[in-house]
Amino acid sequence: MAALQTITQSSVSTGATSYNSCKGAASTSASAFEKVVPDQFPAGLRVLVVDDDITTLRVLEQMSRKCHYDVTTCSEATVALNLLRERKGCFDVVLSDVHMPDMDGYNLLEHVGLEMDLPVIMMSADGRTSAVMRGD
Amino acid sequence: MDRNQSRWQVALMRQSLFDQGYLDEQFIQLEELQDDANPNFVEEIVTLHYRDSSRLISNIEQNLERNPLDFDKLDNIMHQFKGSSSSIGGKKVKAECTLFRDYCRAENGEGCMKTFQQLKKEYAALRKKLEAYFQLAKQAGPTETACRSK
Repeated sequence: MAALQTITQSSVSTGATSYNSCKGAASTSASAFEKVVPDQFPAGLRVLVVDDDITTLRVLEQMSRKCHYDVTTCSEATVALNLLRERKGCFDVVLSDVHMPDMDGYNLLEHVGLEMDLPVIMMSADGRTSAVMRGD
Repeated sequence: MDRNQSRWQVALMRQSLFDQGYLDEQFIQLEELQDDANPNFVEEIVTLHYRDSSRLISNIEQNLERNPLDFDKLDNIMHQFKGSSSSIGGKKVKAECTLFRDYCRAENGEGCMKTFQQLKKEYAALRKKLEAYFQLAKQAGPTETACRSK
């Protein structure tokens, strides 16, 4: 497949309050010892989605937008890794496909875990438990 | 044809795609993602899928001509095709993909070839149905986006 190096960045500015201010507002009415868990999607969550399947990538992008996330998409793992390195601290979570031609998703997971300490959510159409457990 | 009648026809056609097992829940997810900012989202995704599919089907065909067959490679390509079909909710096609992969793992070349022929038939049938559906939907004009009770 022709290498698609599109990195699109979309940021949705909504009228919704940001994640941090929601948390702040909620905690004033809760006891100081209680853990406050916001009950809405963290708007503005900075997500990097990595998937070589363009169709899936577009769907995930739209889903992320609907959740008011700040989404960046990438169809190549190696490009995604470089992006994460260049823009350290600019992402909150990575959503990655497992099977990709240029780099195994678990490989990406390893790099991201070691270098950036970012949470990585692995995705796959492969429903086998063995595939999931590999991520451990 | 009167507007309401057209919309009714579209709704009927849409429902039959689910009833006849061509589409599953994922298609509804796509419809729910469609909005004013992305008014043709469903069709856009389906078109992207067609593009991917053509390439993947061609790839499988080439690999099925090899002797001996590389089952790992075939399984790999089919995994991609299954993923792509899943994202538009192509239920019957997805089932054939799963069957094909089972044959790959069993290293059953004949099973692979037979299933692939069936897969291509299902894919062609789905494509035809969806093209007719989008055509009719366009003629009927914009409707409310799909919604379901929460």
